[in-house]
Amino acid sequence: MWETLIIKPFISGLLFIYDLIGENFGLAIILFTIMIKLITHPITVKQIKSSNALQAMQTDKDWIEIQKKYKNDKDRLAQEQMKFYKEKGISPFASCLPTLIQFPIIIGLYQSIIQTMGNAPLQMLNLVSKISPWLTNVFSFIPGLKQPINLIPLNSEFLWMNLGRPERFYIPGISFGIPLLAVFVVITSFLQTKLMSNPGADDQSKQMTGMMNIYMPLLMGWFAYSFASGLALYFVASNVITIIQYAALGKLNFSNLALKKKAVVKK
Amino acid sequence: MINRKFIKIIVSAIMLGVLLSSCSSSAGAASSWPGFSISDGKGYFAYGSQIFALEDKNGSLLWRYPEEASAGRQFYAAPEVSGNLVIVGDYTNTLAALDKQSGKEKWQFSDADDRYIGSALMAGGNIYAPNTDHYLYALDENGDLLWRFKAAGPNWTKPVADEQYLYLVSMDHFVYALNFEYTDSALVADKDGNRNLVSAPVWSLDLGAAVTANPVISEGVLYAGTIDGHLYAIDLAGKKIKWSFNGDGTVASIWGSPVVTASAVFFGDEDGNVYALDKMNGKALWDSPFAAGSPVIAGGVAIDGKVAFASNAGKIFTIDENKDPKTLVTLEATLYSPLGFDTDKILVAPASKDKYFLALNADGNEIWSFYPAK
Repeated sequence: MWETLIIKPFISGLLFIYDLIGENFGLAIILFTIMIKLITHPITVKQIKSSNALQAMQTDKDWIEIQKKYKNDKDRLAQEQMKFYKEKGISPFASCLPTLIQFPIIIGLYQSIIQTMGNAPLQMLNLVSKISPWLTNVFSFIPGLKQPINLIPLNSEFLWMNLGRPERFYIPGISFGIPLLAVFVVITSFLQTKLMSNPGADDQSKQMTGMMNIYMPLLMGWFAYSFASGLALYFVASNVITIIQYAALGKLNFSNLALKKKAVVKK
Repeated sequence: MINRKFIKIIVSAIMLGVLLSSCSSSAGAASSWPGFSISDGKGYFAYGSQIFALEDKNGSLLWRYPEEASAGRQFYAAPEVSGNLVIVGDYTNTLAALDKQSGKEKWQFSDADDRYIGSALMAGGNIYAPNTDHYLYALDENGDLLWRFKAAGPNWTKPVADEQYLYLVSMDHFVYALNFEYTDSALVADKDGNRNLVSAPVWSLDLGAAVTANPVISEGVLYAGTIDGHLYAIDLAGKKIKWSFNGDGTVASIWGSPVVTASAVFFGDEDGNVYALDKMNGKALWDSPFAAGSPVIAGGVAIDGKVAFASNAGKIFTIDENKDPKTLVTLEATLYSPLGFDTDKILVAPASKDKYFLALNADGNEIWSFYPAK
């Protein structure tokens, strides 16, 4: 089911783009990521709207009143909260549901990228069994298209990278390679989480956001450092496209990048 | 608000968990199947972190290399045995020559940039080692580089040779004919200024798709199967395709080496069909292929006028030019590795949890099995 609905169509899409643009797998990853982001754009917009509605609720006078009134009665507060949602037309799951819908698409995207880069016998066997010519057959009117099986092995050279292996950038005179792409992943992941996060309403929420802003980029950077650079390229492309997408919607919080002084508490 | 954040963190954690498991499985688990070769009553098996030399008659361990396994080195290419040397290539760019009797390392060659998936060939005292970095490396018996040839893609198959040329069938879709030796003046400098590069093959032929299984040479004809389901017979003297067979588009990917007998060529495909063709013209000998029931990834082996194949589902069976299939045994293992045959034993490398390698008699009964002690 997962293979049929997600992985096989994604692999077909990747190989189709790869063929169309002259067998450049790095560009194919970037273009395919853009395409998936465009397809899921309406879901992202819906998620942002719902998220904003919940955010606005935190400063709503009526809601603040309700919270004060029932601060010692959690059951009643929950009932009133549901009532409030109903009155204002807010769906508490509307901001989570798009994330859950996007979840299999994102997982499918990077799984198909990993599988398409297979460079060992078992991985290649797995890839070949998932290659289908349906997309090539649909677009058979385009001249010069190859059958996807004949595209194997993919050209994994992109800029200075071999997309099937961890990336290192070598500078003349320096004996070791610099993981440039991993650095880009950390920077773009940090910018993405920082620019897209809303300032929390309370300390606990702020603390969680702060932790996410630090650990997520580092974790993504570690993946980029350790695994095939094709995956790291996808991370960078995805981060940059997401930032552009949010910027276009006017939803970036540049104020999050400003250094904040710690409040001095006078006794 | 906190609940929403909490859900987001949980979702992110799950995503990263899936990401981690998907990446680590490709990095840590076996990425290929065992490779082995048989020489002078001994089997040389490559699987995972070690090479094992076993006595064919009883499966007793003669030596292992390296003595202490390390996760950093992974061996899957079948060892090449010739003279007193065993040549083994690993997944960390290293080719090593071992003493056939003791398994002691004689030298290492570490100039390659990528893994050794295909076996090396020893011919005329030299070693020809294909690597996935697109190069074929020619070394002398001391491990010194003589020359190298760059294909347009990774090289997964063992080179083959006749009296005249060395043949490399690459993943880049091409068959290359190369000389065994090149004079300095025939070589060109690489980007680092080292004059060791073969500028062009003697001749080449495009097969249109990648070849992952070792080709076979018989009576001046090279047989190679492609992953787009074509079996090619190439006339080496004429430097042209003699015939090709794809069953009118019904043959699936070919992963195992073809088996050439006196008058026929046998091969299996990913759909689990086994075909027998007339060696002279490539016509199918049977009205329909034999359906093995599951993919036939492993190459077969000729045994007393018959050919033995293994299906992925563990079925080992024989078949002949009249079809007449006979199931020898069905193992509880997934079989990808080519079968081997030595005197009266069929050697199998199931790489299962309790049996790495085993020997069967002609009736399919187990003679011995081997699982390495920790």
